Amino acid sequence: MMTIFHFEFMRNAFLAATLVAALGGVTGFFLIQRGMTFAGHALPGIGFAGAAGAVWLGFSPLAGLVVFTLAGAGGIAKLKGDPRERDLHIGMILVTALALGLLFLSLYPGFAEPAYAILFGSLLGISQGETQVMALGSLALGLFFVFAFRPLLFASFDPQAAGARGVPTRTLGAALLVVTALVVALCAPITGTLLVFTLLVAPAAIATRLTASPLKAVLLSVALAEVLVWTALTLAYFWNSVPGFFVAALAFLVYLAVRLVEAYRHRRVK
Amino acid sequence: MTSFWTSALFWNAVAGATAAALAAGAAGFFLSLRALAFTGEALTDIGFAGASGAALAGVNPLAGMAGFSLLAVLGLGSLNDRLKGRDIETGIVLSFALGLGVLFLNLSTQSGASHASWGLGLLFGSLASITTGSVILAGVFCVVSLTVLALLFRPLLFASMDPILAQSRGVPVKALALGFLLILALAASVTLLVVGALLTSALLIAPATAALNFFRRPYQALAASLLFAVGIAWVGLAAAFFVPMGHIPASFFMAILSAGLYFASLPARSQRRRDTVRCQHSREVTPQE
Repeated sequence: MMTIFHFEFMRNAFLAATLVAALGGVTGFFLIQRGMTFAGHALPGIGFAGAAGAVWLGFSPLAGLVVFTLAGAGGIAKLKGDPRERDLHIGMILVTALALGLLFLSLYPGFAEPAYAILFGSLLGISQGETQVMALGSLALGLFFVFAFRPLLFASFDPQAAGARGVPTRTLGAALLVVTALVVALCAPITGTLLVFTLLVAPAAIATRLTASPLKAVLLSVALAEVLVWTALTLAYFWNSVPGFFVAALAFLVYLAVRLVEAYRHRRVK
Repeated sequence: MTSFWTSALFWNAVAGATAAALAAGAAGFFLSLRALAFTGEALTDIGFAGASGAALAGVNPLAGMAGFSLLAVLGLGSLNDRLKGRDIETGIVLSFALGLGVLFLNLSTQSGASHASWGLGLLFGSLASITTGSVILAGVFCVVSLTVLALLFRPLLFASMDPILAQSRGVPVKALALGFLLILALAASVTLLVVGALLTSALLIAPATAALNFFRRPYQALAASLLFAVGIAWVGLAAAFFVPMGHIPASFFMAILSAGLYFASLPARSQRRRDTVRCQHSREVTPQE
């Protein structure tokens, strides 16, 4: 069993996954509370375009990811209007970004292997150098959540009261989008941009169904995310397959189980 | 060049793109009215899983897509009303479908059944490699969806615009919702074949939403939606054939055109909204005068 840690790429993958799962678990909780999960769906696709562009120009795909997800977050933060309309705008920005990604892939001479790795995710996605960058980035984002946790919670649950008490709700909303963009960029090399959404949203969606206390929900969400990525990486290693699939499938099964148990209890109470 | 105009490759691409545009333009009209954009996206991701599964099993990808998404509609159809507006549930189902698709692709490239670039065709469209068999199937799906939507047009319009009133007038709202989702599954499959799973909203959502922003009357909006979709498909196709820079896929041009159309239609939307507000306002003011 321990042979899995024999390879450097597996140690890198586990270290990086542990960090991003923790961040994803917290970020997802706030995205759900604020009804912003669609941003978690769109930002990975936007990031993919950046990765493909970076590969085409000969840069690191991770750099392209970060630049594009940040730009995307900036664009989304500027959008106004009711949630449904906002989601349609985001959807069309996503289509534009994906089309650009396709353009970069087509312009690349030959088979753009690193860009595909970002799209589908891979165990080999993270180098030693990138692990260090990811560790530093995760630390910074972790500190953001430690300091901003209470105001962010206040602003998410009761924006008007928070605003009246002098909490900078708009700034916090924009900051959360920026943090989401960075977390998406860190998750993408492992799960692939197609499946970042699951790691970001599913653990928090399950946790908020199991407990009403925000702190407990965040901790549970992080714990679930960790179990999810560790199991997925292990299965992907032994079956020589893509980790993203296992993340999505396990999350789906756990969510389904929680909902079924809920429905059963509901019926018995009635 | 003359041989190019008569080549099966070119006419297959034209026929496939037209079939997809017509089906998507019509289904997209009701999709926008019913605010089911995210459900449409989930259906295309389920179709993506079906197509990559079909590749693994050696079946026609379009048949795989349609089979998977029709089954999914029948399975999830009862959840239709409850799924609406539940982005998290839809998102988790959607991710699971994408995950399955990625797994099937991974398995079929490992077993040597297909090259990884084939999976890219599923995600971003593969008009250049569309087969005659797929084109015929796409034509059938297009005719079926257009016929059914034409037959159900008035009750479906009523049920989409005011479901409560429609129900009280005896319109079978629930059956219509399920029927529409089945048609949507067919239309989404054909669209997926042409522009790929990630870009389906280029034909399914953008033309119809823009049409509804420009036109208030349902028939005008529907006609505009069909015209926009076919226009985007043809211009995109022409651009792919005539733009000299390497091999840029037609779906790139279609996606950029549709996003441009959508954003260009936004001023018309806010103008119309202002008109509506002014109209309501004057109605409120009149009795006092």
